[in-house]
Amino acid sequence: MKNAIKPALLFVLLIFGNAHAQEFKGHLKLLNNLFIPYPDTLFWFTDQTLENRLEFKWDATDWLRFDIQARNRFIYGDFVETIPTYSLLIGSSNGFVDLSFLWADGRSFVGHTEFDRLLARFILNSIELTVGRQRINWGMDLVWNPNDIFNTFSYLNLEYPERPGTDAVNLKVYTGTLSYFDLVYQPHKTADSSAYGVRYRANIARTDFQALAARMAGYYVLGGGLSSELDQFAIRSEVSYFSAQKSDAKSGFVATLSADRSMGSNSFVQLGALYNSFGRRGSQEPLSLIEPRAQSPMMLSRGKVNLFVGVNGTVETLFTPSLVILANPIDWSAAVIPSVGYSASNNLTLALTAMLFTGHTTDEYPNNGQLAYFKVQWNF
Amino acid sequence: MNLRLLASILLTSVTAFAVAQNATEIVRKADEMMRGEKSSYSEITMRIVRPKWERSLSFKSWSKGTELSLVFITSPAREKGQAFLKINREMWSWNPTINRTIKLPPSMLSQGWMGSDFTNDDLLNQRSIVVDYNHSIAGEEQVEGWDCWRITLSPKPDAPVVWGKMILWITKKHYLILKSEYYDEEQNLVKTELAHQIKVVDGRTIPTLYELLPADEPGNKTIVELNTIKFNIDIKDSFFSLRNLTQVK
Repeated sequence: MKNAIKPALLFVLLIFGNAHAQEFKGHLKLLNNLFIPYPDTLFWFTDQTLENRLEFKWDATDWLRFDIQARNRFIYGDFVETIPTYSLLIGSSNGFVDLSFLWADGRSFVGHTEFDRLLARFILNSIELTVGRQRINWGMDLVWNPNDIFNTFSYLNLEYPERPGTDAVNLKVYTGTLSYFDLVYQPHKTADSSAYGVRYRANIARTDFQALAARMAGYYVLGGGLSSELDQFAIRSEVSYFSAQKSDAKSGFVATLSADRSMGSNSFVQLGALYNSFGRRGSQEPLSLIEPRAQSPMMLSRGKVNLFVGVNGTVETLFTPSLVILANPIDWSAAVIPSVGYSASNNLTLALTAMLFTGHTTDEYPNNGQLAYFKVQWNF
Repeated sequence: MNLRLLASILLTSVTAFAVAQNATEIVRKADEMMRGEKSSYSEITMRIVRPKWERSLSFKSWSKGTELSLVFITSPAREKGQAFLKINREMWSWNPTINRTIKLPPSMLSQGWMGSDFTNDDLLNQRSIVVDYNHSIAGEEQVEGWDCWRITLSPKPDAPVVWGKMILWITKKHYLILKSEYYDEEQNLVKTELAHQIKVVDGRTIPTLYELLPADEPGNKTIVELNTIKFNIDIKDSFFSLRNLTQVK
């Protein structure tokens, strides 16, 4: 019975969203994944994802706004068939409320719908209160965000640029044009796993600063970040100290430092470094075959030190090539991500991306095989 | 009443006086003619034209004085909702899909904006043509049938600008910039801007269509059309904030 009610409720939400939406947009995406195992075998693995995102925005009054977004996916192919728990992994929800359902589950295919934004926002002068599933982004850096307690994401998760939402209550109090307080409470089914935190962000001497204190499952967190300027470069840094609540767990810190700038009129370069005291030698980054991958800001890398180099550009306005290298300088393994995008029309884009790993079996980025993604996306 | 406005009305009605005007004053009036003296709101469509294809981008823009600006993208669908804030020489961007506010590197101020031939400096910092350059009248010419002054702008020492020289053709009648040439530090022509479709909008006579032609890429151009423009809107400095970067629509 419960299984029938949920899809029905979600369907009602969709209809409601559609009927009231003052703004409706979304995309339809066809994604082809290819995995070439190493050492190579007779078989290459491929799967296809047909994905659709629907976004409804409704401003009921000046002070009350709603945002509903649903992500629908139909996935079929070798991964689904080879990994027996695929539908369980994709269907698992780590939200306070389960807003997803599996509407198809076959031997080689799965169909899944998830509401990853479902929020009401109250705005009263300089106070903004957001309740529901939302993306809470506390990051200041562009690659690794040890300050991003509530929605930590992995750079290697290429196929989820929107990033999943968090079920939370977020109170923002603006104290100036460039400063505000943020209070977040993220309930969990067990109080022990609930998270909450406070952040203050301000701009002093052409520099954005932030300081935060938070609690997440098992840890108290103190952190700070800045985003400043040096000549033509933006300089960004984030540091978070994680103090374990239990004596058998380890305390430690994660810190980043990066620089980025545009070069000429068409390219952008980024350099970054990460130190993660929780990292260790001989821990491997798992292949990003299925999402979502459980992440915490303490797990931004497997090794202690990671370096990042990224270059992206625009060629003839339509082509957007990029090259990103994430490397562990201790074992000298790396994830190399070349990509090229193409704008076929105002609303149609193509992209070809590869993810290549260079390490040995015990390195952070072991070469168990190479991944390639081909994507066609239509935005409406 | 604004003395400068009064003066400009008097001067434009007496041609002899107008010719004798100070070049800086002409540039200042031309700039104010376009931007509104205090603040403005506009809805703009930008078309990037290449020999074989075309892309377009629409946005809303609020600006106040020389230093405050907020831009909100309304199309295409993929970019819709992205917003940019500029306060003095600092810029921020907001991406609604990941709810991220990023302080942009200083180099971005001179980068081509959203794939066009315009730079952020053009869009968000145009008033620097008054304060960052020295001005001199180099001659008088006709552009599209209008009598114009030709004025040369050379950057002041240490001015934070990207151009080595600019030449502006400004109409004597309405102080409209009908043609601008932008030169790099080696004095090579980089791009030419042309203004068309002169209309009376919100009580002012202004061009409503602009073409930007890069010198080294024949056949390429960016066309900017002002769909709506309002001058001297009632807007507080505090409107240009991180709050409105995410709340404006």
